[in-house]
Amino acid sequence: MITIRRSEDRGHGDRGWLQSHHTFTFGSYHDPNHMGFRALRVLNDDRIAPGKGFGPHAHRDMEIVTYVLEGALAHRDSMNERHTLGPNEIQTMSAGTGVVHSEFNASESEPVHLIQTWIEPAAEDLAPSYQQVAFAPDEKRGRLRLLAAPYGTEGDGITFIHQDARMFAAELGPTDRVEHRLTPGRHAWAQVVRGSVSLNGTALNEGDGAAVSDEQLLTIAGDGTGGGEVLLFDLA
Amino acid sequence: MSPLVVLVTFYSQSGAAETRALSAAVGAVQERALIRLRRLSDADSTQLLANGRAHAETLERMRKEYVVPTEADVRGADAIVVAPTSSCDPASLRWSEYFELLRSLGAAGALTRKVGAIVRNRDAASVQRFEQALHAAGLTIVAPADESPTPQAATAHGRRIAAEARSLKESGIRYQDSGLGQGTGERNRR
Repeated sequence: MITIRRSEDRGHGDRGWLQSHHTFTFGSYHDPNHMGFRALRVLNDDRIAPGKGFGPHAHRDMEIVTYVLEGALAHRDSMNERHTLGPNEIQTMSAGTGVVHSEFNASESEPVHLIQTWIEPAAEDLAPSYQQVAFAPDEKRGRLRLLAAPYGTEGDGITFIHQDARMFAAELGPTDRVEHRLTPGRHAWAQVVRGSVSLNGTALNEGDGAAVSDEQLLTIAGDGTGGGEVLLFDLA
Repeated sequence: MSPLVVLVTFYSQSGAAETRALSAAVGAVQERALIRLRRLSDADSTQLLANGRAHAETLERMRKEYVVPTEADVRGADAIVVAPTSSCDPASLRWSEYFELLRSLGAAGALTRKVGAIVRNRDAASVQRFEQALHAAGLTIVAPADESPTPQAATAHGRRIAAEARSLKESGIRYQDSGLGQGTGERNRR
């Protein structure tokens, strides 16, 4: 079963400097029918104006995974981590017992466009941690590139989360096609972050998402003239 | 019960007081409180930037990242935490407006059953003056278990502040539920 969440049906927040689309309930946007999917609790599509951002604020007991599509995001936190995150990088912050951080557009002239997801951890009161990994753009072209996986997963160039969930990115040209097999009992969320793709034959455009349950095989293909980019979450 | 809110206000030019304020905030978060971090404004920022080249980048960043505390922040908080720099005074130009706000809200009964605390710096006399000013505004003072001006001690203090604020808040709810009416404000030291 595949349930589509269309881009235009998402919640929208407009703070002037921030244009945000919420796939699930977040902040002042509340929809009891869209409180998350499995362990995926937040999926925000944010565009932050040059020089603007989120001042210091706290998180607790959440795995926060950030993926920049365009521009650069400056991160500072109470663990003394100070980084700039750009495209083809993945940032994973485990808030655990508590982290205070700020996120600002690192540029005074260009906007930053990012996807931020919050995944509920399998346990509370974990030690806070920060990870950031860069990868070559080719690694996601025409294939699913693993970005985040549970601790204990073998592999280089990935970040680790305290949850039985995996996050992939794939950039698919119009003729590209990838397959992902879901083991019995597992679920998936697909989020189109750029362009157009099809998921098991259903057309999805930028901003669209899809909840997948009781399916064995996901076939994602680039669609339209330019294809698209998709984030895929494999969830317990 | 509504979430516990801890307001941490600091003033810093170099970032040292900011670090202690952040550490205290992390402690409050560990104790499952919501936090609001606020920085007092630079009345003389142009001069500061011209004089303090070593800290110019930090100063610019803090000015961008933080907003100043408002009356709504104070009214909405269960704990009022202050992180001053050494040798500073609550009557100084920098802090006087904020403490005048606290005094007026305290006189109006808006700080009843709220705690106040200072994040320690190296200047014990300054800390004492700030603590007295919070006390004079009607806040119940929470003293740290560890008086050292380290981030670790600030985090532990943040936990203690949130725990005491929760305890006081819950006792206030029990008091109101008992039908005895509004509290009269506690002026003890916890």
